[in-house]
Parts: sequence; C-alpha cells; structure tokens
Amino acid sequence: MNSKKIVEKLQKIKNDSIPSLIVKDIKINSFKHVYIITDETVSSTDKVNNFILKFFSKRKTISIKTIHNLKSEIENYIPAINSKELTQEKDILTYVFNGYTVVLTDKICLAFETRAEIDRGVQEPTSEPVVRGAKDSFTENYNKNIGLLRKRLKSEHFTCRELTIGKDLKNKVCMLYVDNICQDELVEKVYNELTDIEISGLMDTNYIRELFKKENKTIFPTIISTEKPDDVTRNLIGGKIAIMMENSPTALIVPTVFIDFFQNSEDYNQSPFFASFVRIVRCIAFFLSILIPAFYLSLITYDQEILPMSLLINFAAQRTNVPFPALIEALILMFTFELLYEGDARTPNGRGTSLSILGALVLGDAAVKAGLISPIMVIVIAVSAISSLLFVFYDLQGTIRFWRYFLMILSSFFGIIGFFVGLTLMIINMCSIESFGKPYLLAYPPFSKNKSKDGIIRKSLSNMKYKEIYLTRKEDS
Amino acid sequence: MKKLIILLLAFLCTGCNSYKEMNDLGIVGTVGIEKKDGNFLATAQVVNVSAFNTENASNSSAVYLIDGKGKTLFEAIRELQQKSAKILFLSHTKSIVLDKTILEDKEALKSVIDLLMRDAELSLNFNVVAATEVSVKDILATLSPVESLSAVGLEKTIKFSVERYGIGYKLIAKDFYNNYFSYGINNVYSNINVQNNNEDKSTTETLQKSDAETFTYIDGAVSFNKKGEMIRLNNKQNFTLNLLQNNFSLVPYVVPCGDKTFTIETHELKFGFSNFNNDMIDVNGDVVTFIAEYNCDYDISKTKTLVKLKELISDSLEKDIKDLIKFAKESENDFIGIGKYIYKNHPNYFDFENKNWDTEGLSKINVQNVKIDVKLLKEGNLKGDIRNEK
Repeated sequence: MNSKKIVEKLQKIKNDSIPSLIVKDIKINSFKHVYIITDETVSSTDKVNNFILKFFSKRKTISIKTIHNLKSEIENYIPAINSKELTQEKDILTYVFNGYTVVLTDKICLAFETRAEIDRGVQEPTSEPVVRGAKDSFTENYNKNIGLLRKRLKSEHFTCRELTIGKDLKNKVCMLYVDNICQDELVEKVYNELTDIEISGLMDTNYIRELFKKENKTIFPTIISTEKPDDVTRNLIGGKIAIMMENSPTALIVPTVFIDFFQNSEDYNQSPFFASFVRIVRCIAFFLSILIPAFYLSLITYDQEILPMSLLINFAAQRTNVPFPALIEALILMFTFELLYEGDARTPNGRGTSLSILGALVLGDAAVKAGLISPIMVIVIAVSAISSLLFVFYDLQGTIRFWRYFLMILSSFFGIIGFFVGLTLMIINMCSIESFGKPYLLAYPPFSKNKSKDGIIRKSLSNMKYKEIYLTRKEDS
Repeated sequence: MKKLIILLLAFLCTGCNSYKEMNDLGIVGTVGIEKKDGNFLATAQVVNVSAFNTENASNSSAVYLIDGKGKTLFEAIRELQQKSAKILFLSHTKSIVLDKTILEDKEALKSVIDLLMRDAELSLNFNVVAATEVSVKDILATLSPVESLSAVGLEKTIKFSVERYGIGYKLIAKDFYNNYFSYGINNVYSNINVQNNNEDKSTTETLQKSDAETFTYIDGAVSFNKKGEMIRLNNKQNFTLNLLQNNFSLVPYVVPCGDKTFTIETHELKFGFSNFNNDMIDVNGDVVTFIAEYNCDYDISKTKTLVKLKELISDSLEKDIKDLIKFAKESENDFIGIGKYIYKNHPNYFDFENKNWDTEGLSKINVQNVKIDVKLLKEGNLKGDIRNEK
C-alpha cells in the first residue's frame, strides 16, 4: 500500500468536498511517516486524542525496533475494543465515515473504533404512551437498541442476523429472534424476503414494511411497528421475529395477526380481569368506529322503520333545519375531524390547546347552532372518531378510516343492505389475509382453544403455558 | 381502474332507490278510517316533528290531522298525500281506528283489510281499535295529557288497561287479519271514547291544566259478528274474555263472600278448552293468586278458611265463564273462539265453510265442566286478620 499516494488523494477529497476529514501526519523519524485519518463529525475527538495520538506522542522517540513491530505495538498498547486491519484502499473512507480512525503506514492499515455519540439518549416512548410498565423506548442508535433488547433477553439463543440492504446507502438491517423458540421455516422465509429487497437505500424500518412482498390484497396492516423494547421482547419470546435497522427508532414485528392490535405489554401488568375488560373495550371500539356512521346513515336515509318511533322523531326533529343530505353532512363533519386530527398531530405541544378549543367550538357548538349540522350527527361522528383514537398503531387507524368511508358510501347508496354487504366484504377480506403464512384472524377462525387463552380474554399467567402462547413457537408447529 | 369505474357505475345505476331523507317524512301515528255517504274517509294523525326540536321548539301542537275522501280507500289515502308536504310514512303507525260505519259494513271492512295487508310498509304490530261512540276524527284530534305523542299514549293506554285491569282488548294487526279469515271466531276491539268531547281538545293549553278533562280512554270492548252486528261487552264480560284468552297475568279480581267481598290479585293464569265431545265442552284453568284485600267474616288465620276461599274463587270464576258463554250464545257472536277450537281439533263436527257458526253452531254448544285449580300463594303481606287485633 502506497501510503503517500493515498494521503494525497485524501487531501484532495478534503479540499474538494469533505472539509471535516482530518489527515494527520506523524513523523516517527525522518524517513517513517504514520498517518492518522479520521472524520471529526462522526468520531469522538476525545477518543482519538486520548488513545491514538497519546500513544504516538509517547512513542515518538522510541527505537527503530518499535517501528518494525508497529503493528503488534499498536495492537498491544492502544486500548481500543474494536479494531480491524484494512487491506483495500476503498474501505478506508467507508470506515472513516462509520466513525473509525484509520492508522496508515506503508505496511499496514488499521482502523480503530472511535465513534462519537451523536444521538439522543433513551427516552420515554412518544407514540405509545405507557401508564404502568417499562418507560424506555428505542433511539436512533442501532447498538443501543439491540442493547435494550439484550438487557432483557439474556439468552444465548437470542440471535441477531445482520444483513446489508441498499445498493448505495448500504443500510445495516438486523433480524432478531430467539432461535430455540422461533420456527425455522419462518426465519428462512423472512430472511429470504429481506435479501430479495432491491432498493438504493432505506431511511427507516417502515420502508421495509412496504418493500415486503405483498401476500394479500388488503389494507389491514400485517406488520406491526413499535418503539417499545418490552413489546419487542414479549413478541420475541412468543416466537416472532423483529426487524431493526440503524438510524431507526422503530422495530417491525412479523408476523402480526389481527388480535395483536388489541394487545399491549401493559395488559400483563394489570389484573387479568381488567386487561380482558380493556381488550373487549378495544374490540368494541374498533367495530364501533367503522360501523356507527354507516349504520346511522343507512337508518336515517333508507330504513327508518328499523328505528323505534320515539328515536325516529328525535332524530327527525334534530334534522329539521339541516340543509344538506345526510351523507354530505356526515362527510363535512368527517373531513373537519380529519383536518383537526392531522393538524393536531403536526402541531407543537404549545399550540395544540388552541386547536382543540377552536375545534370543539367550531364543531360542537357553532356548526350546530348555525343549523348546518344536526347534534346527533356530531355525536355519531365523535363516537366514531374517539373510538378510532384508542389504537396507538397508526396503520390500523388508516384501515379504520378506509372501511369507515367505504361503508358510509355503501350505506348511502344501498341502505342497510349496503351496510351489511360492506361488513361482509370486510369480514371476508380479514378471513382471507395471511401474515407470513399465518392466518390473520388466528385463534378466532381458525379457532384454537389453546391459542385463544391470550386473545381477547387474557387468562391468568399461571393458566398460560408461556407468557405469550399466541403465535409461532416451535411447540405449536 | 376499469373495475373501479364499473363499480362506480353500478353504484350510480341504483339511483338511490327508496332513498328518503328524514326531514321529508311525515310520520303517521294513528290512522282513522270511516265511511260517509258511500265514500271512504281516511284521517291521518301526522307527527309535527318541529315541535320536538329542542333547539328552537315552536309552540305548535305535536300532531296535525289531514284527511282524504274517495270512492275507494286508496283514493282517500292518495288525497291525504296531496294535502301533505311530506311523504306519509306509515311504518310507525301505532293504531288504526276503525269507525262503526266500517265495522258494520262487510264489504267496506273487506276492502280495508285488503289494502292494509297489501301495503308492505305497514307493520304487523299496530293496534286495531273501534270508534263507536265518537267520531274517528275526535279520537285522533285528542291530545294525550301524559305522552307528547297521542298515538303512543293511546297504545300504552290499551296495553296497560288490558294487562293491569283486564278492560279493553289488545287486538294487533296480525291477529286482526288472522281472526278475520278464521272460522269460529269474531274480532273484539277496544272501544275508544273521548272524555268531555265537546271541550277544546287539541290545544296544548288544555293539557297544561293538571285536571285535564279531555282525554281518550278505553270504554270497554265491542265485537262484530260476520254479519256486522255489534255487541258491547260490559266490564265483567270483558274481563272474563281476557281471562279465557290468557291476555294478562297480573290483575285484581273481586270475589263475593256472603254479602261482603275480598279481592285477589292473580299471579299466573292459564285457561283453555278441552274434551269436546257431543256438543259438550270443558273449560280448564290454573290460577295462582294471592289476597290483595280482605273484608270477609271468616278467620283467615285458619287453614279451613283458605280452602273455603279457594272454593269461592273457583265458583266465582266458573259463574263468570258460564255467563260469558251464555252471553255469546244469546248474541249469536262467537267472540270467545269456541268455534275456532272446535274447527282446529274436530274439523268434521260442523260445516264451517258453508254454514254460519254464529247462528247455527254456537247455540248447540254447552259447557260441561269448568275445572279451575286455584293456588293461594299467600294471604298477602299481612299475617291473619287485621280487624281482630285490638
């Protein structure tokens, strides 16, 4: 390796495009040069100073013998855990940009890890709030994330299978599972799908979700993403696979079935009775959120005879002065809700209050008083919207919205018949979905007494053979 | 994309068939039908929805009446629609009031039933009642002092009157049709009357007085035989009829004991006919009851007395039943349904198709035994006789 040539090239790059590149020339004696190459943006100056430069400043005057044995000297006396001998010239920059410091002489080229901590610390989860239970969440630091899991799973069977995805960005992606629990064919299946991905680069794990081969035609989410290490651990010992990637604070969990969206790590910190109750509430909320606007529309525009007389008169009385057809009225209100919802999600905390006050006043009061919207429609849409907010998983909310609008339109064209046709279509769709070969509605159809112990009803932990017996343990196959 | 366009077109092709906006509905609470000078006269009591609007409630009446006249009933109803700015919505009709002029006219009744049965919008659960004392319009115009909707008020009055006191008769549409086409039974109707009919009854001011004097009430029951001849049942007959047909379970019943009386409240009732043989028929009954009021001279704390009381109850009921059947035979109107029982169990006994059961068959029937099994559950909440205490 001609170190002088390489350094000249690096100097040129530094001058042209990467000013943060540092190339330091240390003269051992008049003939020998050692070059230290690093990038100050990704590596810690403290580490470079304390270990590498200090070493050379001490050894500057030492004998020529040392220089001959420079490699073993450095390896013995520089206290760095992670070092690597580079043999190819093109690797130098890759390592430097990964936070390594390269020591280059004519004979050898060594890279030492001197990575700087350029991320936030472990914080509370923001998108999945916790009341009772662990309050840590993943960060953008890949090693820290794996560490959060390793801290919980102290088993030698906890496997991390790394691979690189992305032609240009070369993102490090890791597939995590517990190899004595997770079914082998599932591991192979997920690994093959990951290696099949062709893309120039990934920004987040959620890219992978989209790049997985679509096994179903559906809008229901078949992969869950979470930022809670305890959730991931629970799923890992349940025989599932987690996919993580550098620079992304979310983990994907595959396979995901429908009932997973109604469960939460917190459920296991509550009494079985209370946890089951909350799960039932979530289930009702899911269907309420999708069905109630459509059902109301079909009742008031086509099938008024289904309503009891007193209720019919009540509804009719509230609608006396409303100038819009019921569907338009519902869509106006729905759209306003979507505006508020998106607005609130993207508003800094301080301004959220004014948004909600405005929303409550505009929607709840003024629109009704102005006679544009009937109070009962506000109630119906509000119940539907509030029910959908029970689910922290953003993808499921998207699904709920789609089916809600679909059923609303069917109902407003065909009445109660359209409503039930739409509902049947939804159930057929759910029944025909598979998530990595597992039926989406697992434990309900196809019914399994053993698997439904931790379904909607959570049995006590002593009643369950495993903490999460839900899905894909080896014992189940 | 093609699929989407086809789907969209399919949606549009329906043209929103049977789309009814709620604001356009004229919800009909009660319908009255009568016949005058050869013309049908239909009156609809339509709910005035805006009176129920809490935001800007108007002081107007909760219902309004519209009427239509026509050679046929359909024409009369079409005229109703002409007078209304809203689609008349009959699915929630609570009651249909038939005037005496309809019930007495065989042909008119037939055309009314034909139209009601053909209409897919009508439910099978509305009440059918009769107006014999006052006009149909008077009943429909009278507001209820307790219910904001007089149609609901009338429905509840009938229901509770029959279930709690055995007065009136709850005839719902499907039984009305059923009995009309059955052999050996005639329909019995609650007879609706209006208290103080001449006062102004359709204004809310009248109702705001706590001693509202104008209201509809159940004035016993009436029955019309196949020829259209009306008979009126008095309260006792009315009660016994409901008893025989098991129309209630919790009602008071006054039993004589010497020259005094005591009252029982029934708890469970089951009556029926059996053992029809050679013109003779048995009536069986089980009564579970307890004492509600006690005025007799017998010492109630003794077991002997209780046996005696049971006998008294049984005898009194037996007498009432026999009287009722006698009354039916005399008035040539089988409103009890003895003929229906015989037709179902012994169809060859009488030629129901060609002969008139009311006049030719019923008179031959005699009651052989009336077996009533009375169970006195308790003497009420009082132990013994309160008048013996000093």
